[in-house]
Amino acid sequence: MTAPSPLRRVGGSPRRSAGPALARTGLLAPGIVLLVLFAFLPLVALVITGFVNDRSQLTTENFAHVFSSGTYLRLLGRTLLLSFAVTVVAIALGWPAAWALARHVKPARRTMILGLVIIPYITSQLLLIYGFLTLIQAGGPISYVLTQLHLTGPQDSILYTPWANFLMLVYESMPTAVLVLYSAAESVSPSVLEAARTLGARPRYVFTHVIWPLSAPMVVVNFTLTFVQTVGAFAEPAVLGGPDGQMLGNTISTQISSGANDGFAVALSLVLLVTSLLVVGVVTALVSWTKRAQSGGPTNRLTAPPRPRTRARTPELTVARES
Amino acid sequence: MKSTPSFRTRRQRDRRARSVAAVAAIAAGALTLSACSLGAGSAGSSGGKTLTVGIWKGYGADLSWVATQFKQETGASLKFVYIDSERNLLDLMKKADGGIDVGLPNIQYIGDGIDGELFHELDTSELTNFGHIYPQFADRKELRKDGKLYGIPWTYGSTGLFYDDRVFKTAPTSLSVLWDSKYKGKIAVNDNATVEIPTAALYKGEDPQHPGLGTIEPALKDLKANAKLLYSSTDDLAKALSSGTVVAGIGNNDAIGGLIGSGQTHLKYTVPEEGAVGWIDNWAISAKTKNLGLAYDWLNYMTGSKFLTKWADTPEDASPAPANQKVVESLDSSVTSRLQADPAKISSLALQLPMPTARMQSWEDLWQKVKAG
Repeated sequence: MTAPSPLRRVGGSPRRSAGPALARTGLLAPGIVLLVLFAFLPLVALVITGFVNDRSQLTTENFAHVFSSGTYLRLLGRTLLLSFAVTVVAIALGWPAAWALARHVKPARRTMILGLVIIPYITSQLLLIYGFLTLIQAGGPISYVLTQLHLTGPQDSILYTPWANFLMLVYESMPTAVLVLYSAAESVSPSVLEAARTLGARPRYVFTHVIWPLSAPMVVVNFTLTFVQTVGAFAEPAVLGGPDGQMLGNTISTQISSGANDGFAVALSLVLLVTSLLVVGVVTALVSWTKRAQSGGPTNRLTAPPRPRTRARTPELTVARES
Repeated sequence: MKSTPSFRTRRQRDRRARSVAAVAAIAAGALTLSACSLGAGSAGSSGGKTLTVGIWKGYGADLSWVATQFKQETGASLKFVYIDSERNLLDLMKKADGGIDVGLPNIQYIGDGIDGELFHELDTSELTNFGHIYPQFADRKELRKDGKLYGIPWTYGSTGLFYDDRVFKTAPTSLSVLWDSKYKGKIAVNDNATVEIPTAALYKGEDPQHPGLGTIEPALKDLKANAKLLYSSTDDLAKALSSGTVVAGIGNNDAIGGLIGSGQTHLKYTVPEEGAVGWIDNWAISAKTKNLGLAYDWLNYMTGSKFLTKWADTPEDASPAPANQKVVESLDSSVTSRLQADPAKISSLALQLPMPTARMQSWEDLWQKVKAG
């Protein structure tokens, strides 16, 4: 019996690597199957449906109908704008809360508060909507208190107005905002902030040159999750929005219910999908650009603000290392 | 870098292994789904003891006592496939390929199903209640093709005017109340183009089947300006009514009847003097059913006195008006009043009838334009 040669040891390695390869395949396969069956194939079916008319002919007339109609383009614009506003407000409200949670709350309480934040996230969406409706309807608790304070009449309410829809969408977006931005807040090392302050950086400079560059990726994640979720909303505008609260989501829903032309409903959905992705892409690019600009990247030379009075170069260098 | 044979072989082997595993997993998933689908379909049709019914959820046929009564009469069980639109019913019956035995197309869509050969021709000698159906419904041409019958009318109803009699000291009789600025911000409107456009047409004195959309548009805008609520479910309407947010509006007679039955006794419903949108729901048998005899049993049970009377006598179950004249005549007058089962009003109904896709889409476009404006 001869000792195994180096070549044979190398020759044995495929056996060792086939295991991990198969394991990797095995781990990936369920996800791939689910994605193919329930995301990719339905999307392909949707695209095909969008290009077929009610006489089963291949056509672009459904898309031509969308783009030639002021009504649907106006609804698309309104939906994108509203979703953008909801996302920005959710981030603006969620970020300070997440920061406070990560920095100023004891760990034991933090867990409890995070648990409370998650509750709306794991509650049925319809329950949330009808709970909110009960809260703000005429004669409801808020209306009662305001009436008792002689601030409004007993039948005054924001229910069945676009504001009710807007508030509901912000409310639904808050758990995502707090959870994602909490991760962002935790990722900013206290020592980096301390270093910036010690070196004389003012709070605004610390935010724009330290916190923002480190948090930007999570802000993009939050924007994507919230915007994409909001842009497809249809139950909220239908139940809470009233006659002026129409969004493209519930337009698509009524178009499908009418049975008039499913292909047109699909074309509306695909246009909404593509424009939403465009918005997400533009925002991602903008945030990345500001991150590079503020964290000392090549763009910084062109756009950097005046230096603070004291040695502020060190925080920038630290950020560059951290990121 | 050039690959050595052993590396190439290994990569190829790994790639092949991944490909085989991925294809096998996809195939397994697809097979599992197919098996589930086939299993579900065959369970409903091959045993001969289960009848699969395509219907709206909560619309009479799936009341808890129905399955018990039907089993007592026929020994068969019921399985329900719920639909969310009329088009959905036709699609499901087509895809089920006999897996759904009976369905409930309304008069607007049954023609599409007949043209698509989805329904079995009905033999009137097997339909024990056909002779009792109001002739205004039983004789409708939309139920027939080439002289053959494909549906039996079950219920009918109207989408007319409701109001809160605590607010209206004099009962309104005209649709004009919906446009009255006195009730601005107090009106509920059904979010449905095939209801709102004919209603506006009736108000403007136009033909509700072929209204001039140019005339209708300003009327719809005025109606929207007066409205507080656009609703698509009775639950949403009930909440607005119970909080006093709306005091009048357009609604289905069965939905309003259900709300009255559940305690909102201040609500009143009427078919206004201009008329109201009307509809007829019909039972049809799948062309490919394997339970033809049982399907006829179902049609006879559904259109018969035993079921319809019990349904009508239970206010909270929100029965519409039965299409069976003999049953209606046997009901107490308070019940027929609640159900709006007044044969004299049948002629004032503007029925939702089949329409070409292009016209339906133009109605949808107009309604969306009004809502988005």
